[in-house]
Formats: sequence, structure tokens, C-alpha cells
Amino acid sequence: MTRMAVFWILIPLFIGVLFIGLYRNLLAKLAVIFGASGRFIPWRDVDAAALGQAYADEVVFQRRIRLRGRVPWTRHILISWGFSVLFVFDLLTALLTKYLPSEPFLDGNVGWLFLKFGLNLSGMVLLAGLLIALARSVTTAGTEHARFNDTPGTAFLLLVVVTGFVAQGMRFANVPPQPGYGWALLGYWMGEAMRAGAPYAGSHAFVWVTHALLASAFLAYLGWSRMIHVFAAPLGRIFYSQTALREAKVRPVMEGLLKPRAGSR
Amino acid sequence: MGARGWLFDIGKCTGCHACEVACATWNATGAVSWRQIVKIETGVYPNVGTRNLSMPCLHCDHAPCLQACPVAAITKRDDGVVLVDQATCVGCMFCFWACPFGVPQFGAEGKMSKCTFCADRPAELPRACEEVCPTKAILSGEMHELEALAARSGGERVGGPAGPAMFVIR
Amino acid sequence: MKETAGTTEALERLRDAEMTPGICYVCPWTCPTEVYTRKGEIVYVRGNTRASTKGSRCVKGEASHVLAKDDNRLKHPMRRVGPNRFERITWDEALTQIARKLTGIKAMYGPEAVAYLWHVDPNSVFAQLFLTECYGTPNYYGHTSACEQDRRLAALTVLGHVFPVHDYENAKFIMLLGINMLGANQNLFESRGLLAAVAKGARLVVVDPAFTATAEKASEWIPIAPGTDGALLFAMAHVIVQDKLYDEAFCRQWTHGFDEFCRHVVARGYTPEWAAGITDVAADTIRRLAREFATTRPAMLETFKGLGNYANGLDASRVVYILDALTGQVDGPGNLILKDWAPLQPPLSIPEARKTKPGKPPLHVAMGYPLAPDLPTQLLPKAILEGTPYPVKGLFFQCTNPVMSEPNTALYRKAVQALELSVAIDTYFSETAAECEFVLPEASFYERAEIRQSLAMPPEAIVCVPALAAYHEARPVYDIVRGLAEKMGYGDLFQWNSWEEWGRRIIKDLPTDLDTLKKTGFWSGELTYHKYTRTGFATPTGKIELMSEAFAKHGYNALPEYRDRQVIPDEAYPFQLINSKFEMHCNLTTQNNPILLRIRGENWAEINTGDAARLGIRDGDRIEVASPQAAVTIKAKVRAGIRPGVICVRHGHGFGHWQGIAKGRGTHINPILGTNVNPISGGIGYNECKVRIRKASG
Repeated sequence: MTRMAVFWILIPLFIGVLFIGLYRNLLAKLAVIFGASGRFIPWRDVDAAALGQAYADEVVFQRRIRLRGRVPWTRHILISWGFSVLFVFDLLTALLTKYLPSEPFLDGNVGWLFLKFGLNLSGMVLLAGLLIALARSVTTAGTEHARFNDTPGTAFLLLVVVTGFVAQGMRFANVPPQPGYGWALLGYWMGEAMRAGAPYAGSHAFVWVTHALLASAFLAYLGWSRMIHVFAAPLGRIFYSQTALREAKVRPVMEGLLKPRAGSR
Repeated sequence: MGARGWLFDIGKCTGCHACEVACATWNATGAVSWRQIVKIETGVYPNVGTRNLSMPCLHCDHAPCLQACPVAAITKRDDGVVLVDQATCVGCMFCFWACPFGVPQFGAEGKMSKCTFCADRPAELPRACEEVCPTKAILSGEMHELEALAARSGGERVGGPAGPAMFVIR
Repeated sequence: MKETAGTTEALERLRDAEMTPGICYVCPWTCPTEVYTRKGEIVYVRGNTRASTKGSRCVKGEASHVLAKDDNRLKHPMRRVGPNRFERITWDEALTQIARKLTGIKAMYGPEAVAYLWHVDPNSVFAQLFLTECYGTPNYYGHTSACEQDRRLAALTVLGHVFPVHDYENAKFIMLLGINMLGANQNLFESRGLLAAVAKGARLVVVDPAFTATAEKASEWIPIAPGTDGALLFAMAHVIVQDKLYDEAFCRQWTHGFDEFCRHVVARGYTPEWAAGITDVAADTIRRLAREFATTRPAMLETFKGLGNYANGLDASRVVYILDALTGQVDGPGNLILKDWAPLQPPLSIPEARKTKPGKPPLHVAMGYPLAPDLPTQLLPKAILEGTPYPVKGLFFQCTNPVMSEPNTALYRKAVQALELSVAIDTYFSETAAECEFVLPEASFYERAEIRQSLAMPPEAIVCVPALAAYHEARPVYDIVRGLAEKMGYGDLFQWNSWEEWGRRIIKDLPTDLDTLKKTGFWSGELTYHKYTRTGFATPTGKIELMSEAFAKHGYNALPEYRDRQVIPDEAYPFQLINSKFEMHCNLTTQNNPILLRIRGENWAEINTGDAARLGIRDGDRIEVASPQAAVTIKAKVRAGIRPGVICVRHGHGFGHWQGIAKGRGTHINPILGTNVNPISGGIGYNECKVRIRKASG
């Protein structure tokens, strides 16, 4: 009872903290912006081409980071795409195997292998990115490049990912390998590597709960740390693509400041 | 020490950009400009007028950029100078959208940078923009001193709820 | 205004740097500067805070530190081996070959066949001493004919002073015609004073077909018809004479030809009504301005380049100074200041026995321009290609680029190619250098020393101390000339172990020492007014010559007259072209500067809103500007601040075909210009040009 209580109390708590954080550090900030600007851009005035270009440049290909260097770009794109795809696969897995279970997605079946493949590939991408990021944090500590690092966030997320892979490895090690398990990539490999210490009974549950708690804690952390940029940066940067909006924002203020004194030329 | 700010004489500014380049040189800003130069010509020939504005950061009393930053990267010093911490900034541009004057700048690397009021210079020194201006249109100082000077020339403080720390003489 | 003097040490501490006083040579104002370097790199620059510029630095100077590391600068001496092909040579090779050619030319044609041209003139006094006194050519010239030749001759003959400066701050009425001291010719010595005067309630009247940066600050803008300022000025003189608003006591005591001039303007009928028809300025306005100028004290009337861009500019410029004289507004507070110069000596002297006296008169005299204050450069190709008035076989181009800046580009290029000896001394590979046989890399103003006059009101000497070590093999002119002198048997006269040795000779009459000067960067004397009461005026009569004896001596009109400009727009070419430039660009050194090109990357042609609308041209469109000579394509800038029927082109772009950043930026407009040379001053009439405009296709 206590273990599940811990699980079912803490996780909603963490998610709650995330949402409070998103409210305070994202929505309230957006309110400051709209309050200050006092205007929205009508849909028909949106420069869709610029918007699409900005989405591609900033979110998909992250060209800005690429301009800074290949290593910063690699680590960031691996982490951001790894995390995003992993998150989606996580949701899919939870839905299709637990909450709305569907036969093809149950253990050993094709759908399940597909989910495992997606989870592991994106997880491996994320892991690779995090390892590069941590290495970069160490090698650039104290230099001017250090301002582009996020060592606490990196370390935290790395912990989440590692516990996740260890939990999965234990689960694979607990059962005999089935044909097709190879599609689980790192999960399968870790399972094979950890087979010697099998079975992992209590320890598997412990690592799994730890992983779940750490993952939710990380989400809570996201709402209150620099990690919130995953929402803020795409929003702000895509809006920046709207040159008309930028000019409309600033020009009237400048013109107002430059209005002549009453009575002069 | 009291809050510090600017006194800008629009009548003296010729829009020559010297201030912008001095700032960029002193602060090694690279390709980013921390002063925006605006030239606005009004009227119909031959009744024409032109006014120039050189806009730094106005280090507002209630800086909207500070309020809008999701990661609390922007802080305000005791002397009123508003600064952005380069390590914390994530380049989300919320500050640009909050600032009524479009002050925050984003270079190729994405982080926000802006006028720091030459934060590294002691208060009694002029700012870089101020010292090179060919017509001495820019003055920095304590707000109460600048207020007195502005009043003498019919100047006024730049308005708005943000409370910009700049007086202008038209 | 926060005190800037005494802040040097603080800045040095903040940047862990050392301040070296310098002189900026981006434009001819040569302002004193402070250069902050740390470990051989420039970390900051500003104006000299204690000298008269009080820390000010224009945008060109402030951005100029880029020069110190610009990879596109000239690094090594080069010799031309084919069209657009140069090989690197050593200094020894270059100097030996140039010396050999100089000797050959002297033997065959006489030393007068060699001329030295400079635009910005750092250290060129060394070249002058060597070439004019040792080698024996009288032909050492600057760039004035492309600049302010008419104004200069007018000032010299009327007031006896080559370059009056301006006590704007104390003036109560200032009228500026064809001069833009807050914009294109931004003057850091005088900008503050001009605006201080306006702030104190002085009336500033700006006469210009375009609404310039100076007009922006003026109490009144007179959008005069281009090239007609002379009529306005003569009419003002007429009013002053008729209403007896002149300062008679001053005129009787200090002017020559007062009665003659007064009779002359009346006899010619230079009335405001007459002028109104020409200038498109109402007669009442002319009358009012004349009265205001004559009765407000102190007052100042001044011009610079604008008037001289037309064939009639010389006489118009004379009337400017005559008007100042008529009202007694000369060399007093709030007036034109006939500045005293600091007592500087040459860096070295040539003993009489070693001098070579020229056998022929200077080129400008031989060309028939005895009064020209500088070479009529448009006539130089004739001397080179046809030997008229006598052959010119060798030319030095120091920081001057006539292939780009002169009209008749093609002819000039052909002339330079035809020279037996052509040497370019510059920091960048200019279009003129590309036609020369020898290209010598000059040290920039961050890497060389000089002591010279400043253009501040009081006598002032400014010092440039090298802030950086040599840039590759680039050398200051004094070292280049020394090398040449050594090859030609005059080396013993050009010897020094350090620049300080000749530096001390230059300042030997200055009441200070070189160590102090190397720290402060300047020496300033007392500003005194009404110096003429002690010394008179440096004219043949010792007085201000309203009627010029110098003109009369050479058979020119002793009294100025009004003439129309020569090129008048017509149906085929309905627009008048006038020239201006940007305050962020000057000469070649700003063209490859990424900071300045970000601010102003290309030039444009300004066209009145109404004219643009009629022609279907929008702001930013590319337009074709065509004269009877040629056509160019340029960006259009539509504005209300320009007279209808006038196109104002910002010149000075379209350079740098061999530079990384400048290449391909902007439009070179000179091909559309015709040849127009003032027959007395030799000045170039850049605005004698009619054009038609249309939107460029494609």
C-alpha cells in the first residue's frame, strides 16, 4: 500500500508542480507580454511562410544552434528530438498497453516490438545527447562557452534516462528472450548483459518506481527551471518571424517619442 | 545611490550612429547593436522635419522584460541598471515581446543581450555612447539630477507603465 | 555633460589597456583620438577627451579600428606584371626600381615630369621635402579640385586665409549655403558649438536644395534652386548696400574695393526681385534674410563644397566672404575665425647646396591656372597623354583614388596606364592602384606617427603615436620616402633612429616637450580674436579684398559676377543632379568596414515624393539614372526633404572590387558626370549634370 501510495501521491504532486510552474513561469509571462503589447495579430495578417520557415529553422532543424557549432547542435538536437519522440512513445505505450490495451501491442507482438523499438531508439538518441552534453559541460566549465550549458538539467535528465534503461534492462533480463526482442535495441542488449544477476524482483520494482518518480520530478523541475525553454523558446522565436508584428510593436513608440513639441516644426 | 538613467536631447541628435558603434566597441557586442537609431522624416515638401532617436535600454523602474522572463534571467541592480544573465537566458524572446521599445537584441547565437548602461564603468564616468557623441545629445546620470536638467529645457520623462528611466528633450 | 577629461586612467584599468593618443585619418578633418590597446589589439577608441573635440568621435572613426586587422589591406609591395596581375616584391626591389625610374624621367624630361598627389596627407611633408627640394619637381598637390577648390580660392583672395574655422557657439545668426557640418562633412570640432548656439536661440538658416542633417536643426530651410546661390548672395549684398547696413567703419579701415563693390552690385541690378526669378526664393525672404544677417551680431555666413560644384561657384563663394566682411563679421566671437597655426617646423630641412630648383613652373601655372589653390586634376590626363602644358611621366598617388573619384573615369584610367612611373601608396588596393605599376602598402594611422596642425579654433598641434606594431610590411610614408631618398643619394638627409627625433624638430618652437605630447596627444594655444588688428590680412593689399588684386593681376574679373550654371535640365534630361555623401562613409577606408556597411551598405539617389509618384517609383526601388554621358542603376530613396526636379546622389560607393566585403556594394556614379572645370580655380563642377530617371527593369 505504502509503495503505491507514494507513487500515486507523489506523481500527481509533481505534475501539479509542473502545471503551477507552467502557469507562473509561462502563462503569466505571456499575460505580461499581451498586457504590454495590448494587441494580437489577426490571423489573416499572419505571414505563414515566415512562420513555417521559423518553425523549420528553429524547432525542426535548430539552425541557430548549428551556427554556433557542430557539437552544441548535435547534443541539442539529439536531446530535444530524442526526448520529444520518447515522450510520445511513452504516452502511446501507456495508452496501448495499460489503459486501453490492444492485442497487437501486448507483450511480444508486432505492435509491442514497434513500441519498444521507438522507445529505445529515441531513448538512445536522448542518452547519446545527454552524454555529449555532460561531457561538454565538463570540458567547457569556466570558459565563455559555459553559458550555453545547463549542467543541472542535463544531470537530472540523464539520471531519469539511466534509471529508465536499467529498469527496462531488468525486465528483459527477468524473462527469456523471444524472437524479435532484438528490435528493443538497448533494452534487449542491457537485458542480455544483466541476465547473470536475474531474476530482479524487488529491485526491478524499486528501479521502476524510482524512474517514474524521477521522471515526474523532472517534469516538475521543467516548469521551474531553464528547461521551460522547451515551450517558451519555440513560441517566442516563431512569433519573431512575423516582421510586421515586430515593426508594428516598436514603430509607433518611436514615432511617439519623436513627435515634436507642440508648436514647433 | 539613486536610480540612474538617461537624458536624451532629440534636438541635438543627428542620427549619425557614432553612439551605436562606440557601445559595440566598448562592450565587444560583435554583430549586435545595443543602440537602435531611428530617423523619422515628417511633413510635405517644403515643410519638412526630421527627428532622430538613439534608443538604448531604458532600464525601466518596473522592467517588463524582467517580469516576462520565464527563467528569471533578468535582474535589476540597486542603481536601477537592468541586466540579463547570459548563463540563465534561454533565448525565448519573451523579453522582446514585453519591452515596449523592442530593446532586447538577439544575435546569431540566440541569447538576449542589450545595453548594460556600461555596467562595468563606475558611476562618475560617462557611458561609451555618451562620450563619443559629436553633439553631446546623450547624458547619463542620477534620475533626480537629470529631471532637473530636463525641466530646464522643457524636457519630460518618457511615459508608460514600465517607468522608463529616460528623459527626452524634444 | 559628464566630464570626460581625466577618465583615461579609469578606462585603462577597466580594460587592462594602455591609451595611446592618435589622429584619425578616415576623413580630412584629422581629429585627435585616444586608442586603447591590450596585448597588441585595439579594445576601444574614442576622441581625445582633453583636446578640443572633447572625446567625440564620428561613426567612421569609431568603427575604424577594424582597419588594424583587415585581411584585405595591402600587406606587401607589389609590381604589376599584367592587367589585374601583380607580383609581390621586396621593399628593396620596389624602391630601387622606383628610384631608377625617377632618375630616368629626370634625365629625359626633367624632374617636373613627376607629380605627387595626396588626398588624406599623413606624413606627406616628407614626400614634399624630398620631391620638391631634393628631386626638384614643383608638382606636389592634394585633392582640393575634387573638394572645395572654389571656396578655398575665394577665402584666400578675399580674406587671405586658406581655411577659416567657425565660432558657431557665440553666433546669433548663422547662414550656411552648400555646407553640411552635421551630416556629410561632420566636423567634431564644431558640431557641439553649432547646436549650442541653436539651443541658446541663435537663428540658423540652411540654404540647400536638400534637407540635410544640418537643415534638420535649422530655424529655416531655404530649398534653393540648385546652383543659384550666387544670385541669392548678390541680392543680399544689394540689400545691404542699398539699406546701408554695412559696417562702414570696418569697411573703410579694413577692406579694399568697398566703393567699387557697392557700385558694382547696384549697377548690375542684382536685386532681390532679379534673384527671386533665378533662385525660386521669394524676394521678400531674400530681403528679410539680408537684413537679419546684417543687423544681428555676431553673425556668420559660410559655404564649403556645395557652391563649388557648379561652374559659377567661385564667384558665389567670393560673395560669401565679402558679405561677412561688409558687415564686419570677421575673426570676432561668433564669426569666421581666421585661425592662427601652431608654431610647427618641418621634420627636417634640406641644405641649400643639396636642393634642386625646378626649371619649369608648377603644373597648375603652366596649365593656365595661376590662381588655382591646388592642381586642376581634370587636366592631368592631357598632360600625361598629350604632354600639354608639359609632359607628366611619373605620378605618386598617396591615399588618393582619382580613377574612381574624378569624372571621365575611362580617360583617367587610360592616363594612369600611360605613365612611365605610377606608384600607389595606400592602405587598400584601390581602383587607381590597380592601374599603377607599383603598389606600396602604407601603414594605417594606428601604426604610424605624426605631428600636425589641428582644425580647432585656437592654434593647436596634435600628435599621433603608433598604437600598434607594423601591419605586415606596410610602412609609414616617412619610411617609404626615406628608403627612396637612400636609393637616390639623399639618404643622409633622411636619417633618424626613431620618429621622435624628427618629432622633436617639428615641435622645437612649441612651449612643451615631446614626452608630454606623447601622453596628452595635443598642445593648444590661446584663441585670440581680431588678429588682423595686429597683422592685417594676408592679401596683396593687406586688407580684405572685396575687389581682388590677385584676380586683376591675372586678367580675371576683380569683382565677382553672377553667371548661370552651365548645365541646365531640359526635356530630355529634366532633373538636376546634385552630389552628397553619407556621414558614415568617406574615401576608401570605410568601404571594407563590416560595421559601417551594416549601417549603410549601399548608396542611393534621393528623389522628391511628388516626382517619385509621377514616375511610379517607390522607396527602395532600383532606378536608372541617365545623363547624356552614361547611365547607372542605383537604389532610390523617396523623401519629402528634397526639392522637386532635383536628384541627390550619395557618392563614394561602388569601390573595392578587390576587397572581400566592399566588393559589389553600391553604385559608382561618376560615369554619368561630364567634365566641368572652373576656368580660374580649376575646381570640378560635379553638379553640372542633368539626368533622366526611370524605374530600372529587371
